[in-house]
Formats: sequence, C-alpha cells, structure tokens
Amino acid sequence: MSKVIVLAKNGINALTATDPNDFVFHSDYNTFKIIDQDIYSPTLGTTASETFTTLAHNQSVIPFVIAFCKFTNNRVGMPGTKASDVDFWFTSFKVDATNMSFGYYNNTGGNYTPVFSYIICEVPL
Amino acid sequence: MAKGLWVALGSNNALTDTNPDHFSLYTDTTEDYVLIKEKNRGSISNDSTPDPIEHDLGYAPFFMAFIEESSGVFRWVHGLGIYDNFNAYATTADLFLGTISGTKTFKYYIFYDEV
Repeated sequence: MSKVIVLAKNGINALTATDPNDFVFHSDYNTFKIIDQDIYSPTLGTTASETFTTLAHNQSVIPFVIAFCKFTNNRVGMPGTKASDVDFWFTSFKVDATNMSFGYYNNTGGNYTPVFSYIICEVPL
Repeated sequence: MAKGLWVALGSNNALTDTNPDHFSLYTDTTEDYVLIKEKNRGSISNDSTPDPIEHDLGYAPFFMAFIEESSGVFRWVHGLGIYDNFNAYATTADLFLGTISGTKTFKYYIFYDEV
C-alpha cells in the first residue's frame, strides 16, 4: 500500500474516498504555494490607450502570478474590468523575467490611484 | 478536541491561532478549507481554431493559463476582453485556448476543482 498524507472533507472517509474533490489535502496532488503577495498602488495619469505600469517581482524565474485591481470605490476586478463609477480600466496583466506589468487605461480626466494586489506562486512559467 | 491537521505559517502558533490566513493547511469542523489540487499542466501552440486540451473530468474545472505574447513575456489569459488577442474557456471535457489572430504558445494549469 502506498503511503500518503490525506485530509478528507467533513463527513468523508479519508481511508476509502478516491475522488480528489473529497479531500482538503492529498499528497498525491500538487498544490500551488504562495511565496509572495503584496499590493502596489501607483498614481496613474490619463492615457490615450492601454499603458503599463511595472513592478519588479524579484524572482529568479518567470513566476506564476495572479493579480487584481481594487478601484477607488473599493470594488475589485480581474484584468479586463472597468471601474463602475469612472472611465478607468484594468486592461491586462503580464509577467516576464524581471517585472510584473499592470495594464490600464485612464480616461477619467485626471490622476487615478488604484490598488493592485498580486499573488506570486512558486510555479515557474 | 476536534481532530484535524493544522500547519501554521511562520511564527504563528498552530495550537492557538484561529485565523485560516495564518496557515498553509487548516481544518475545522464547519468549513472545508480546500487546497486547490493540480490535475495537470502543459503548453500548447494554438491559433483562432484551437485544438482542444482534454481533461476528462466530466465537469468544467478551474484552470489558469498564460499566453506567450512575445519571447519570455506571458500575459494572464482570462477570457476575451477589449485589448486581448486570446479566448479561453473550459467545457466538461476540454479546455480551449486560442487567439483572435495568429498562432501563440499557451501555458496552462488544470485543477480538479469544479467551477
């Protein structure tokens, strides 16, 4: 019998269950580990098209990163979303060997200060 | 005392802390703080008529994907947006990662978790 460490969901028998979805944790299946997470809140001027603001990720590989934008009205969106109250878009997110790049389009008529949050996982792309 | 498995992060005390955010693994009797479990990962080169990536889970799974828009530069793929040259979606059998125009390489991660 192979040795594993498993933690079943409430009401599930850890000794007999075989569906991966019945487990909180199962040592046969990889889980992504968060190695860094933080926020980045630049003040962004108006733009005529998609523009990027960058932040170094300080990893030795191109990392797997998830990013969100909290707009100034405290609503949060993924790339491709627009603030519900003004014409500011969080257009896209990309990563390379050095930086994370947050794409935006600011047609509000003035500066805009969003809060980008990012989660870096140990998985290299 | 409830039975479970707790692995605290850093200097947090696994015996007394009750904030799930302070743990890499946390259980209690009311919530299943499920860790997202990877099924498989890979890369594929696709155009606007993408070849499907079979996952055979029988349900639409949680997935993450990135498009290599230029050498060494990866953009998070999250569907279809106003500035995007990609379209990504999952069905009960397959994952589809394609472009609007041209051929690009995608890196993908499929998880067991159903959406």
